[in-house]
Amino acid sequence: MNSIVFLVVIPIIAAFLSLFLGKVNKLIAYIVTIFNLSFSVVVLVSGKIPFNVAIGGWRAPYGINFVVTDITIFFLLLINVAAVLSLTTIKEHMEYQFYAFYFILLAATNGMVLTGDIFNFYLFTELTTFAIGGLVAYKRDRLATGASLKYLILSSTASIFSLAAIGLIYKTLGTLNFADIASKISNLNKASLSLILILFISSMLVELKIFPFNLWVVKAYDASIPAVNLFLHGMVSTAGVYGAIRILLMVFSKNGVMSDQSSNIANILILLAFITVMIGEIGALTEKNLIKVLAFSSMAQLGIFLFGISLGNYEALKGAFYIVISNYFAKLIMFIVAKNYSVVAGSRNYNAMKGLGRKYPGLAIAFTISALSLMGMPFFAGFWGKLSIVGNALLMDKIAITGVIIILISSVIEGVYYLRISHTFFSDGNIQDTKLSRINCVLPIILAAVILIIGIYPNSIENIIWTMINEIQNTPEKYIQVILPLK
Amino acid sequence: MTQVFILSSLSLMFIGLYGVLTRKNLLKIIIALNIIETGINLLLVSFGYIDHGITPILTSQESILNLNKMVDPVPQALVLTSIVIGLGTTAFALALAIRYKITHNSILINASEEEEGRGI
Amino acid sequence: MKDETSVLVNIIAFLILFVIGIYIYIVAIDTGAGIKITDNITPTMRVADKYLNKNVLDDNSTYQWGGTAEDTAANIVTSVVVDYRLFDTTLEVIVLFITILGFGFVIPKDKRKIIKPTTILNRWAPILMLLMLMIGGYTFINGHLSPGGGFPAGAIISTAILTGVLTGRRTISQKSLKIIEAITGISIFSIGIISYFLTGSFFQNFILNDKIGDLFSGGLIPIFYGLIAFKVAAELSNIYFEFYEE
Repeated sequence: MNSIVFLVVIPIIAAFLSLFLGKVNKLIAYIVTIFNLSFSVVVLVSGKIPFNVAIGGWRAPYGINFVVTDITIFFLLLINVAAVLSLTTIKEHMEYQFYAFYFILLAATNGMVLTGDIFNFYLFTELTTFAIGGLVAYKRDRLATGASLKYLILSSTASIFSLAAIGLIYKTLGTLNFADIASKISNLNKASLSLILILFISSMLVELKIFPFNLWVVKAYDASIPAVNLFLHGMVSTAGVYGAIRILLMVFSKNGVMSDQSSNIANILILLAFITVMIGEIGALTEKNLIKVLAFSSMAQLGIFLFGISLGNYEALKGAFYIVISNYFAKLIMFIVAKNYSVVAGSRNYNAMKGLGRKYPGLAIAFTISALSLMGMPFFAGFWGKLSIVGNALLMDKIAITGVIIILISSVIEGVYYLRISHTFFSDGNIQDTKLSRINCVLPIILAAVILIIGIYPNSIENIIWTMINEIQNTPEKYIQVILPLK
Repeated sequence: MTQVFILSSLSLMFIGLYGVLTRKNLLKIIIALNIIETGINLLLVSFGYIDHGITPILTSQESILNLNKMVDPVPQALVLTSIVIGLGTTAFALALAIRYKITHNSILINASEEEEGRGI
Repeated sequence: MKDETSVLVNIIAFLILFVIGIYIYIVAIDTGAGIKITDNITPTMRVADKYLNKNVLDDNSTYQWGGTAEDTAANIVTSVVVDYRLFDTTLEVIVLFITILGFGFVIPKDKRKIIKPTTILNRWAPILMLLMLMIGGYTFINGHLSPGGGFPAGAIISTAILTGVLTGRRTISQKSLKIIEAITGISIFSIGIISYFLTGSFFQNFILNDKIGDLFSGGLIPIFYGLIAFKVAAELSNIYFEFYEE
């Protein structure tokens, strides 16, 4: 299946063509994204997973290769579905540069998930940085310029550290391929390994919105148009989560658990996750702007995810996957609802949206379902996630128990501000004339139904998650054998 | 000789990092970012250096006999890419800085963003 | 305008850098087991060994000067950049494309008139442009035989266009620059797709059996470098045209 590279090449060619097609750009965007999505589905059902594509005919590790395994196809589907859903929120005419940035973002996030080479991964991350920098600055007003500039400077500085880590990996191990690094990582000195890990993690933390690299999040979400909010959440965060799973758990560790010598690093990550969760929750509590509340909440959910994978326990890892899935669906719904309501109410302050829930109950009910799922109520998708993480962290050492307390406190705080917003929606208020068509309510209701199904009947996706955890558990042997033939 | 290269590139990176962390003027921050980029390029190239090595270019039959004295070509390929990325970052950041000056009315990075500007 | 910085921020930044420096020093003098970052590892122990010996496909092949090999560029850095790791180079071209696109999008449009050039510049500009075009052309045509390649050549060619702009000689318009940029970009990836249909892998070199050291060796390498040179030249010239009005 060498043609998987088309997932990256076709959007890039579309980006070049979009310079000239003014009005037709939106149609081309839909066509290319649906092509990507259907290609991923075809790869999923073709049954040839896992496989490995050597680009240029040079076998790995002497050339670049694309690897498709279970985790890859799962995240590929998530990214492409989010891309299609985000395109539906664009209603007005955008200039051609917007579509050029969007195509490059699509190609870069797809490539980040597919690649098997560490320098290729760095290049796709840089492409994502520039594409998001351009998309956030699309409105070119005061807020957008400042947000985009700060994001660009922060992300560039952090990615230079990862370049230093790549150089050190090449100097000591002599290769740039994920599988080759994973097979040689045990030869490395422990102190050098921790230095390389710290340098590499600091560039991944920017996309994962972890303290101290999350100063860009709130302003960037607030300054961008709603479609770019969905791009940031659905595509970039998901690719960042994949990067964390692949690199932390499969390349740099043995059997999915960060090795003993880097347990200091795991502790540092847990500490940073705590601070992120606290910042996210307390920030969301005091905000009146709905988009900023959702941005802070995303930060907190990713903090819980980082806590889940740093524990070193497979049950907690399962919980982390549930958190990712529930956050993905819930925030998609919430951003769409926020966009629709802010268009009707005329401002992003949720106090101005009083009473809109009575006029458009579909959207408000979907919002409440997502909020309950993020809080961790039983019968919603987020419940299984928090249950697994909390339940397994209680069996471990003191730091993990502190984390449990912080997660429980954060759930309570989430309840406060989300239910406050839902209450504002459903209370009485004077509304202007209706400007919202009923079609906008369809999509959030479908996604909310998905959350309910996952919550009530988790076995539907439990098999998928266990397949992925099995793959992480059997690393690096199985992963390496896909790529490097036995010599 | 490699130690001199690595030490000088580390000092360049530290100088640049100090500049990004402490300066408030946007242009100084972008210049400091450029200094970090130069430092990391020097660091990457010095990872491939061997003492008394020759350039990895074949010029005649006898250079094929000297293959194990050649300097590593792979970090040079990485640095080619890194230079171009540095150029792109500087260009984009400078364009944003020009627009920042017009909308915020000041070139300092802690200019508030909630007030009204003269704006375009 | 004096840059006011508080002493506290300076001290905190200094402390952070000090801690990072101490940590790197501790890692460098560590005496545990395993490969350390200060070890002396030669390129023959790394992946570069196979690139230098040109025996990635077949472990036992050797090559002679003037003979054929799996990749016939005499400049081994070029063969790494444009043959073994071609995908990274195409992505780098995309990085340049998108940053210059963002540059043109964000910058405020206040163009200025070109001031009248001096006599020396006026007389010498055509000769300078010709020389620079020649040097740029030489650099990318010989990218596989001597140091250089598409990226410096693009910068040199765009300097030629800048000299023309500075003297008021409008040699090329912004619309045609956009067209050149798009066409070269599409053709780089189309060659990749064509090689997929011809040989089964993307970006595989499908012109073989050249001789090492010839001008026309290296398969697709001179073609790629030529396309990259024109693309980079078009993009960098775009920057100048953002500042000077028609």
